[in-house]
Amino acid sequence: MEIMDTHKIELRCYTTYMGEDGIARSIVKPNAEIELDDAIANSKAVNSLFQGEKFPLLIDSSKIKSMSKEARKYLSVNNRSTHITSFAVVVKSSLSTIIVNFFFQLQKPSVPAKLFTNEKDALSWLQKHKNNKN
Amino acid sequence: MHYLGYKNTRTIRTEMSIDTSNSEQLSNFNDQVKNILDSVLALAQLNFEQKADLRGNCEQLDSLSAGINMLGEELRSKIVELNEREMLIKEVHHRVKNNLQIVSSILNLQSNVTDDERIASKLKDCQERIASMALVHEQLYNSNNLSELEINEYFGSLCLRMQNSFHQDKIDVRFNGLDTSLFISSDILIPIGLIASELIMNSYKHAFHQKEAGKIHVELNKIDTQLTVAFHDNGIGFNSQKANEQTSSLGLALVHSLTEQINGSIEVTSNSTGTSIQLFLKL
Repeated sequence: MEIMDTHKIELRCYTTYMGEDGIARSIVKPNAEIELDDAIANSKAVNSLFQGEKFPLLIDSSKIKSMSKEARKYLSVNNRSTHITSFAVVVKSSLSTIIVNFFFQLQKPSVPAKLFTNEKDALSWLQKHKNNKN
Repeated sequence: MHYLGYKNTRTIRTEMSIDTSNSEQLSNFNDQVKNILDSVLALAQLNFEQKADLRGNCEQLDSLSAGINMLGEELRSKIVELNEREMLIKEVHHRVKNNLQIVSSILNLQSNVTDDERIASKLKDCQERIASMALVHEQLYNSNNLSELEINEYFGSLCLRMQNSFHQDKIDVRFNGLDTSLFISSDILIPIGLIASELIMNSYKHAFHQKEAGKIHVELNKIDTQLTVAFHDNGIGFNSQKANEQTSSLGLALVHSLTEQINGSIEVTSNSTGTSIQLFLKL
């Protein structure tokens, strides 16, 4: 089902919205160079989707160009409150795979997180985490 | 809970998408490879300003560049962290040394105002013990190695310091170190230093009564993993059987207790021509 544009939050590097299936989406814009401010802005956007119940998040990073160290650290969700139960990151290119692997290996996320090469598997994994209360 | 143990990493396709017959593409490719190599070289020289370019011509090379840039960022951050930690440890050694020197000065002032020579002597003993520990922290603060000290350097300074402290010209203190450098953890060196200071102090105080001149000789030996610290004096000697037993004298009790603490052993021989004490320690 197509999400109405009015429900989408458009940021410099992300488009973020809540899916009909209760899984939030953050789509990284083509050639996005994510800095700390972008990471914070998207984190706020994701948290604004909270309506009393925590939810999983799908991040499509397949078109990312770079992510700063500060942004990687911030997005690992360590030492800050979050409304997400888990997150899955979709990568397709070798560039996005390297960037996201750095993020995963060096900044150990504090909620369940996994890397996927296709959206279908990612959504299926996130469905299992929908009811996690953490 | 982490899911990092899962197969989180993905293998990256390695086929390059460049047309080698196209001279412009080939030239761009070579330029970017050179740029990546220059960035790696800069990182090897800990130059973090130079970044590898992401040019959008070849995805695989851009991926390499991104990986190298991120590695550089992580390396820089770790180096900054390590430098900060090193400065903090140095600062701690500096402060510990200063505080020990303050305690030593207080003991000195106290010993100067007491009329009781026995109390003054006990205070002086404590001052020597504290000084031997302060010396470890002083040398650690001044060295590049923050947890280990070179034993020859430490003993050389300790002997010199004690000679200056007792300023008795008729007693000569000599030190023979190891032929090679040996770095020892401060955890071990502090007890060894305390033992040495106790034994040298004992010789100064008790060995040379009624003698015109005296010699104290401190010698280090190392055979395989065994370190021997030998103390000799040509003083009047004492009952060595008592010294080999647990004793009520604080100095010797301290020597036995510290020897036990470092899993060492001690052997004392003494007669009317002098005393010889050997401390054995497995490294």
